[in-house]
Amino acid sequence: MTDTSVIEAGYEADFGDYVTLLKPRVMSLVVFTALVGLLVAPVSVNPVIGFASILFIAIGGGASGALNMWWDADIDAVMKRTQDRPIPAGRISGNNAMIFGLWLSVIAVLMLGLTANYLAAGLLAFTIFFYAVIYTMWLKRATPQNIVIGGAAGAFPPMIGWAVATGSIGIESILMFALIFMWTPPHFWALALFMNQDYTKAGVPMLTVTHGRRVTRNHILVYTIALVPVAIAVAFTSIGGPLYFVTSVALNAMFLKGAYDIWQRDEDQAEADKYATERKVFRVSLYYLFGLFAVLLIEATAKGFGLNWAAWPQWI
Amino acid sequence: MSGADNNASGRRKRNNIMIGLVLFGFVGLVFAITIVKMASGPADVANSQRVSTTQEQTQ
Repeated sequence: MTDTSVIEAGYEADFGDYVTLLKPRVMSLVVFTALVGLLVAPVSVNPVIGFASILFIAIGGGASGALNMWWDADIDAVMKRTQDRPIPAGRISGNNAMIFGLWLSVIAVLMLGLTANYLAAGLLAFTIFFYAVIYTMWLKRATPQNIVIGGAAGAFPPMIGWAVATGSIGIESILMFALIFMWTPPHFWALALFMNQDYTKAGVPMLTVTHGRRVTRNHILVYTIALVPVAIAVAFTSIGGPLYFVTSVALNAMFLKGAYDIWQRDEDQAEADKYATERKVFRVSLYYLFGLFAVLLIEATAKGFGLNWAAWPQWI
Repeated sequence: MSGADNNASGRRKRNNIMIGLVLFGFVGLVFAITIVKMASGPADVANSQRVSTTQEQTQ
């Protein structure tokens, strides 16, 4: 729908439509992981600076979401899950969404630079660029490896949070990045298994579309196995500890069990129960990431109260 | 005024209030950041420069 037809049709965008453009659910994950990155860092940050920085990171993440919705409006219009988004539904024109996304990106990056430091701002700018240009405009429609490489965009927030506090990039922030980076493929492939029709209809070359569900099930298991050592390695850094170690072992066991269950199933079984296991693993993967970052926060809080695990090894 | 007009007018009013609140919040946040920044590091640098300028003038 063109800009003129939106106006002629008498639609008027609500404030809420612009909030929807920012992908609030994705934003909540960005906020949470960035906040953990900021709070687990060994440098304390003024609460006003910390709050403002997280807000600008969230706005930057939201801006990249708006740019993604602008570019992918044609795909969103075809997919059932995204048909009601403001652009395909005709409530906001694509042009307005693009301008909104670009302005928010500029404001978020500049303000983060002025509020925190230019390393954090540079990382945020790169994240927006990576998500909007590398992932959305290029990888998503070009290769079944789209979410493997594109997952980096979602992995940057804790690194930005860490950079806000320390002004640098440490091994801890690299491991938090790696954790989300490795978690993204099995998470989205589990989703793709039960949303395959949508992706096929929209012509998005997800692994399920290009190589089929059997290959995707194999990939989920392999990537989940590769994720485990990364997740557990965090326990042996300055931000880890025994509580994180125990939780990560338990959560990794759950995720691995889910990936194994997915791998074991064939299409007949999955069709019979309407992909119940795949849906369950998708949910488990969300709890997995939330749980790991929540425990990092608890470890940091405990250390803040002077509870140091003196005997706990820090090998990394 | 018809019900539809009333509805549209009410919606527009709500949208304007929300935008106003967001802008007000943004200004407040920038103000708070400025205060915090002035109270910490950069203020010291600015003060030291002012002192040295004053010293130069005295000499």
